[in-house]
Amino acid sequence: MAAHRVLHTKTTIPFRPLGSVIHYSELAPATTDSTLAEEWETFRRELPELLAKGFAGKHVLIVGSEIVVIADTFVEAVAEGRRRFPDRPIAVPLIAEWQPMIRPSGGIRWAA
Amino acid sequence: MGRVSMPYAGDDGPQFPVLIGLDGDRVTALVDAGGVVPPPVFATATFDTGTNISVLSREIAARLGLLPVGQRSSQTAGGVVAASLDLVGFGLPPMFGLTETAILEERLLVAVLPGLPDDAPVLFGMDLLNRCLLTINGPARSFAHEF
Repeated sequence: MAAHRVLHTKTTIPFRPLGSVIHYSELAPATTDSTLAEEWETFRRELPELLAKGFAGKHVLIVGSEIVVIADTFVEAVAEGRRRFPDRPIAVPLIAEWQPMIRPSGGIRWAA
Repeated sequence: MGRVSMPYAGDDGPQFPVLIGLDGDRVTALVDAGGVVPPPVFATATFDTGTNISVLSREIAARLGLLPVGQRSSQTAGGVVAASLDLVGFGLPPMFGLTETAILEERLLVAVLPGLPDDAPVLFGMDLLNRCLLTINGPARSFAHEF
């Protein structure tokens, strides 16, 4: 019997799922003109711990630097956010190792 | 199922009128609070299979007073950037075969981005195209959109 050559015994490269996604460690910092800069930075900072605690697949409602609630669905989190903060922007990102991305279109002039 | 059928001109591809308004939940909350609901914005949309989420210009978002519900990364030639996400109500006006306004989505998550042309400030992306049947007759410069 021919010996099988073992190519890899261990890898540290995470498996990349299909679709437009980005690993959370590659999320870009908020830009200074972003309405949700504080929420975005809070999300980037807290996401590893949220994943470690087993909240993957849920949505987190963030207002300012506060994690307000973790909900099962986007709709539930938005409803709670609007009930408690009706007049201000909120952030309701998905807790996931692979973050959904916007696949850009050629019809957008990104330099603007 | 509704159906829109209309011609298009030139080589830019089908463009068509849409109505963009506040999402249904926000309309309900405003009405309950005695607030003023801004009228929907009449705009021109372009079918775009190249984007996985429908897109609005910042000007439309400002006219409606949209409140962001998040942001999402996007890979561009200049690197990874973050775009605002908003919820809207998305409909088609009573034209080109429709006898009344058709609400496609009462609660549609869209990206708000700069850089869209003023004459076509809405991109009808794959999130919506995946829910409808679109037939383009290129030589006849016409299309039919069933939803």
